[in-house]
Amino acid sequence: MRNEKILYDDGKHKCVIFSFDDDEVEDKFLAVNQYLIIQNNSAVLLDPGSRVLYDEVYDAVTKHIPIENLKYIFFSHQDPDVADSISQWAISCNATFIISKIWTRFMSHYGLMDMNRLHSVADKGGRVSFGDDYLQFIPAHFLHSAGNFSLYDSRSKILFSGDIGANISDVYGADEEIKDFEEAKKSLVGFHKRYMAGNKFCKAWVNHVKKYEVDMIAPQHGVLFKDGYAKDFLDWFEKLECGGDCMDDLY
Amino acid sequence: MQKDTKYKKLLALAGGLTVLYVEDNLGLQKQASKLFERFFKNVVVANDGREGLNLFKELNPDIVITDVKMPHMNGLEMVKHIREISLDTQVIVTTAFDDKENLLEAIDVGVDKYLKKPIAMDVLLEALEQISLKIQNSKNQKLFNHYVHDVFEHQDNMLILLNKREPVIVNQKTLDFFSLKDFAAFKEFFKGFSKQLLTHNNFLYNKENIEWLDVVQANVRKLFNVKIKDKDGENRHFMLKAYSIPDKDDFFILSFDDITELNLLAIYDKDAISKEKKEDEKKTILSLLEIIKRNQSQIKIYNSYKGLNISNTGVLFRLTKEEINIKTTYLQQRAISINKYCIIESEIFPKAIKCNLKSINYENQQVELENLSFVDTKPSEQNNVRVVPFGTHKVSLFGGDRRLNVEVNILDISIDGVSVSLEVIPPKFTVGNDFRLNIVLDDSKIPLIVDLKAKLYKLDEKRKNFEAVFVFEDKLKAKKLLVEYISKRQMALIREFKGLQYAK
Repeated sequence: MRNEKILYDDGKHKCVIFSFDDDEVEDKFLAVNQYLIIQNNSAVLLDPGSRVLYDEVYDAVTKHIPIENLKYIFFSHQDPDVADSISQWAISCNATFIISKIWTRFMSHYGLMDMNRLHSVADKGGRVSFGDDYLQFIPAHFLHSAGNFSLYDSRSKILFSGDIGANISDVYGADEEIKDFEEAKKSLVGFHKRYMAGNKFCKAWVNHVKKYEVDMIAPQHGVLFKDGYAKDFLDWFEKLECGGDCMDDLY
Repeated sequence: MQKDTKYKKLLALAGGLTVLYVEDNLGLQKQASKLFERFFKNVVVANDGREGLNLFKELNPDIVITDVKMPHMNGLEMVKHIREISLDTQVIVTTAFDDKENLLEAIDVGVDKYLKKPIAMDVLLEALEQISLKIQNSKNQKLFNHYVHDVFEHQDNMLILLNKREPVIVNQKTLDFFSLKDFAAFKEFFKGFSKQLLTHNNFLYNKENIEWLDVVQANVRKLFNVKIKDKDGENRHFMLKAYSIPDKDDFFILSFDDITELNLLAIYDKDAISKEKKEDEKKTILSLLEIIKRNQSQIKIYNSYKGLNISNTGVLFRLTKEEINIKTTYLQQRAISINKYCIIESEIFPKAIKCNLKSINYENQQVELENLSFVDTKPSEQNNVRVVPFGTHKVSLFGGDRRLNVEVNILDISIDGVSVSLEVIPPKFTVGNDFRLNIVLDDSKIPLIVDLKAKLYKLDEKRKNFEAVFVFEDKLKAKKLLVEYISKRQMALIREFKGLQYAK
């Protein structure tokens, strides 16, 4: 299985995707992706996943950097497949955990009572700068979580979009990418229509994202959107009617 | 024989003195002059008050002997003018008059002796002796004062010259140390000087029924340790010594030699030093908290429950010299209530601050804290999650291949090491040595068994036992097992804590 791939590496800055098979949906795969961003000797781990995957992700991370160099772990939102392993990570490393401020109070349910290890992100987002480069926390609230952020890496120009862009694929592997957007739409529409709160939120997020030059969209589930497919996805998502726009389907 | 003794005595005293003798009776003048010349080096003669005054202005004699009734200016009027020029000159008035008016006037103008003519030789010699002695004493005193002043101002020590218990001279160094303007201010200040000598073990200060100055004056040349605060509030350590002055029974010099730089205060009295440190620390803490309050900055509050860190942010909203009031989350309030204290941190604190719980008001989310003190370890710098294990556990300690016959109990465990207590210390149990630990943690259906190489990192002797910290050497091997165990234990502790939390 292809569980790991370097998405970007210029010698100073590196982005790695780890992908572990989470669930099989009939004959299709719903991959769970974790990402590691390394600059010089410091690293940020994104959405490390559930406690079931902790051992594998820990081993994968420590192949790239010593665990003490892991400075931040970013949780796009509070779902178990994103944040359930927080207790294990709290025990095994000294990283600061970054999460939306609305979820900090729930962390004790994941086994964390030491709230001063958390850095809570305000609704409007924020930025972590390192030299000329930065990581931008882009608000993605109600897409689908009520307190949700995407992460844009200015150096690699990758948008780590969390649940936005999640897709079920015929194939499985960390190096897979969208090859045909019209075909991909079929797997995108069901999830996004149900899990995203409404078009108003989709538009707001796309407006924010379009301020940045995005070469790749890397979702938490499924395969990657590279080259023109990233733009195709943003155009599609901006117009998507979902959640509250489709009340009649639900009530 | 007695007369000879008197002559000799007067000769010794009067030898260097100048006498102005004013007498209009030339016969008497000649006769008396001869007598005076036997004792005094210089005898000058005038025929009346006016001439006498002129000679006085010219020669400034030590003694003036004068008749009262004379032409041009009488004796008493002359003395009146002399007194305007000099108060030190000794004046003897001789007169044939025996009336009260002249006597009163003589007193009024400041005459030292009043002798009735005709003067008996004995009486005259007696008067001259007394006057000469007085002059000599005064000259000695001036000389002494000049000398002592000179000595005083060229000393690095603080010096106080006392006449019995009264300050007579004090040097500038002393005035500067106590920030006093002049000698008059020091005289007043010295009345309460005992308050300056601070309590310190084996030091001199006022105790019940023991007055410091009595002790010093009764032990001339003995060294005493004293502690005095300077104007900046810093404690200074002095060696105090009293010197007596030859032929001056009531005079003492107190010398204070500043030896603070030798850092001996702590050796004499560790308790006093630690008390002072605490006072200084209290001031620092209050200033830091004042900045926090003024800037409405958040503070980080830490507690622990069976090894588990519980932390949240809080706001300081009230501050007095003795206590602070903070607002924080309900969870943290419960943790403070269980621990009976909390540790607070901020970016501006050089160290973390431990605060004891005074009271909690759950409704207003307010916690009142007191007895604030710095602690050496910052909870935020604690590198790993530690937990107190549940129920039974067993630790076997190996030195080389040999199992050491000692009972070991785990206090808390993390992925990096374990803190244990031991009843006794086995041989070669020294910091830096390598051991092997076989740990069985019986916390679930499947007990956790780890076998790890460990280095003894720290060893402390406690009142009833020993506490040791081992750092795991090959932790990777057992790391995943330990992470799993600690994670489960952590959740169990959170459940336990929350149970307590809701139970209030």
